[in-house]
Amino acid sequence: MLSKKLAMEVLNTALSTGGDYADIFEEHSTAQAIRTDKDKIDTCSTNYLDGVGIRLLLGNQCVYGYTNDLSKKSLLTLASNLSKSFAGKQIVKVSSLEKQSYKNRNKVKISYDEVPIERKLHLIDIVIDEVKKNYDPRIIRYVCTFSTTRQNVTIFNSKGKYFNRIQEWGQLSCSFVGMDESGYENSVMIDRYQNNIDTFKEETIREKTKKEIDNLIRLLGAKECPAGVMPVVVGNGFGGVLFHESCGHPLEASSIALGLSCFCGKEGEYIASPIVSAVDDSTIPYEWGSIDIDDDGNLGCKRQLIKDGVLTNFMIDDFNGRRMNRDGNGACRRQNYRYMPTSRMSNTYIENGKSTPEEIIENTKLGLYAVSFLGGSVNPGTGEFNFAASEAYIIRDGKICEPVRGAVLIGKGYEILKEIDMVGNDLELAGGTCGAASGWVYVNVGQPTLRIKKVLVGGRGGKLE
Amino acid sequence: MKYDKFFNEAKEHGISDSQLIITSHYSLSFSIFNGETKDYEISDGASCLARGIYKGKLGSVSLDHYDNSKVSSIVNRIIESASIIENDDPVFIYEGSPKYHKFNIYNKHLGEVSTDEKINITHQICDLILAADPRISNAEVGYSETVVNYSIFNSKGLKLTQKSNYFDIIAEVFAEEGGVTKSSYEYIISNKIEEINAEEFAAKCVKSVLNQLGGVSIPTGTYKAILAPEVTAQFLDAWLSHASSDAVQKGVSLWIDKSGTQVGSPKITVIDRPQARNIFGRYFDDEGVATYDKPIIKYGILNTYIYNLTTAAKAGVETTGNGYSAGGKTGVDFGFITLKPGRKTLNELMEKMGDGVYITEIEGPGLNAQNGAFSMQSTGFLVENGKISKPLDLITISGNIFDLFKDVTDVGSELKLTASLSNGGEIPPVLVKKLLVGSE
Repeated sequence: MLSKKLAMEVLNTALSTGGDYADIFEEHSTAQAIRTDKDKIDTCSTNYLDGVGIRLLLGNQCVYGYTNDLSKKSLLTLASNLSKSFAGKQIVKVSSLEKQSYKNRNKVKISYDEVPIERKLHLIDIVIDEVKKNYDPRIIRYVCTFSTTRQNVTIFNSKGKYFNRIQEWGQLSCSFVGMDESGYENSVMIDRYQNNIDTFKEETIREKTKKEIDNLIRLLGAKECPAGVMPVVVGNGFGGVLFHESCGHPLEASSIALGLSCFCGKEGEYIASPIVSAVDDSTIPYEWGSIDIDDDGNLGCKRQLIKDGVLTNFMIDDFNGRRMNRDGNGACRRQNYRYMPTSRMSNTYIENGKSTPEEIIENTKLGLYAVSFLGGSVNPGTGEFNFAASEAYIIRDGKICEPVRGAVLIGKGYEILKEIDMVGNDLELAGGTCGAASGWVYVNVGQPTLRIKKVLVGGRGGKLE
Repeated sequence: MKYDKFFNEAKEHGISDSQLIITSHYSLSFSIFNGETKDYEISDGASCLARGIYKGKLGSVSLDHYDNSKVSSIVNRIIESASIIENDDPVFIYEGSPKYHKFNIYNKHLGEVSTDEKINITHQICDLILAADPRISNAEVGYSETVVNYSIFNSKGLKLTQKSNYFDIIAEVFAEEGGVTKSSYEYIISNKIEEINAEEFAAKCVKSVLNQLGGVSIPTGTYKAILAPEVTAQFLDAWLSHASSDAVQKGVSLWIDKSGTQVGSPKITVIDRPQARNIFGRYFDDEGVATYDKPIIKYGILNTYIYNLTTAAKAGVETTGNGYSAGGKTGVDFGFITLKPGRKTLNELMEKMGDGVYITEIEGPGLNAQNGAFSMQSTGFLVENGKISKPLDLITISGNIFDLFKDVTDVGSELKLTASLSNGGEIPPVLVKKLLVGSE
């Protein structure tokens, strides 16, 4: 860790020309990945990340720089170069740095760095064993990976505070390729936690592996998804990527502050069906997207984004908050020191409603049941989003019928939220990685099973009949 | 030599051969939002990928900043990594090719242009866009410049370096009409800043977004289609991945045993051109092998798979200089790709098509490179009587890239330099005889 003396010198150098805020983001992180292909370990790679990012603000302007030369000379040169963006006199001076305390809900109890490699390999062995138990000649390749990330960050800022934040994430995955006379398909099993290796349970790994193998085989025999506008029941858990794309991104201050969101100026208004309430909560202990204190030094919190259909809050970082006349609310994040931070989601989900998942299916005469998704994307400015289903079925007369493949759902976020007419009571969260201006960050999406009255579905299966 | 301490210590610990890939960079970026400088960023840094062969296995570790004080730790990590590898693939630290066709892609002039001048050009583009039409609601124009020094050093005495620089200017423009907002995304990528025509680029951005206003729906169905270069490039990238020898050897390529056979339309010729004299050019690959240009698809026939040292050894052939790093491993990838242009301009392609759709953008994860199936959010226009008639609102396009490239009836003449392929490409538009379009 940089000494407090050097940190102050760097901050004061950056602030010497009139900047009104500065911070230093010092990072020492490790990422490791072990991979097997054809049951043999073919990769074991470790990546060390050591660098410093310096951010300097003046009003609505932000300058940022980073280096991985951590010498005093290099850091002072970077701070001095950044200060040249402004030409005033120093107005903020840092004369002391005090440690900022916060509640550590995601404390690392056993670091992956200290776990013998054999224990990591054991997790991969469980997956391989389960694949063998469920052997099917149509599985032509499967690649298992166990990857871990340890992020060790210290942030010093011109509010006279500094704090250290250590987080670790572990992920076990297996990607399958299947083939039969109808062609190739693929699917991916993922089990991941922001917690130590003990969190991985053999039973869960086997269950998830078996489920993905079954999904792969179903996909191989599946018809192409029909196209057109139709009712869509979206499954719980990773189905929440719907809300993440269509609504979450446009509610980040990085879009709102610049007037680049379809939800600008809508606070206090109905933006969704009255049966929809949604939150972003970074305080759930050990959840995939949780963060105790953000890069602005603001504490994580639970943000009620939508209450009974009414827009109530946003994900806000201090810098974008300036344009909104709002304080940051603990949403300032970045992938690593190579990125300027901005407002990002954490654990974002639609809250439970009153229907059971069975009722939702039973009340749907003809439509699509999209159980799980590969991911999606959105343009917050236009509200246009898309997401591609990895597992989907046709619903006929209130029953789940034939599986279909190649479904993609597209729409406009501000329209789709109003079209939700049934919300289930089976809320689940599911981990993912979200890419945006400040890089890739770990987030949870989530929702109970819900129904959208009409969505445009793309596919190659002709009209839904 | 600077890295001898590493090579010597590696050797002392039983690492038979070792290699360092050192990348150092400097970058500058800023963005102008609605005429104001929004952010400004400068950075310098380095990264190092260290590899070594220990007991016949290739171990690796990557780190941000190499210095001699880290040598023992790097050596230990390589041994630890190699010790758990079980894969029996042959591994290599390469002594070097007999001859390298070196060329310069670094443009000194770009570094001599002042930052203020670069900011002025970017401001000018943003201002021109904002002033062009009252329906323009927001415009963000970003400038990003990178200088990279890429070097390979190994214990067999190989020393290779290539310096490059480039900038990109990306404009995202929003326009609003009747409560509907549309956006466009245009970019320039080059290292010749003197060739920028601010007026021309701004006009293109404005036209691109305004043309989308007033979108209509069309019946869901099959249409003839022209795919813009960016769209063609994204499909081409997925299609060509099946020419990777690694995919072939792992049994997941759809082009196994297809070398010398027709895989696409006779109108399609694709050339791997790592020797292209532009910002994407490379005279050696990530294993240190000399690169060379070669046709991958000739008149629709698969001409060759591409190889790195490992896959070539397994197949009993020579490497094609297509070894590219993918994390700790060396994978197989293309260099700069050219889809050989035809003779018809975009307007002539539209005239030939008569009625159909012109697809200008695709979005989202709905392309499955493994089986070629795609179903994607798209932006485009209805073409009637050989001319663009109306923009299309919120459509999907679906199909399979293996069919799509067989269905190409014409390749356009106007090449676009694109970053939508992994190591860049120059791609013209293509005309296809059928594409499934989903609309309301």
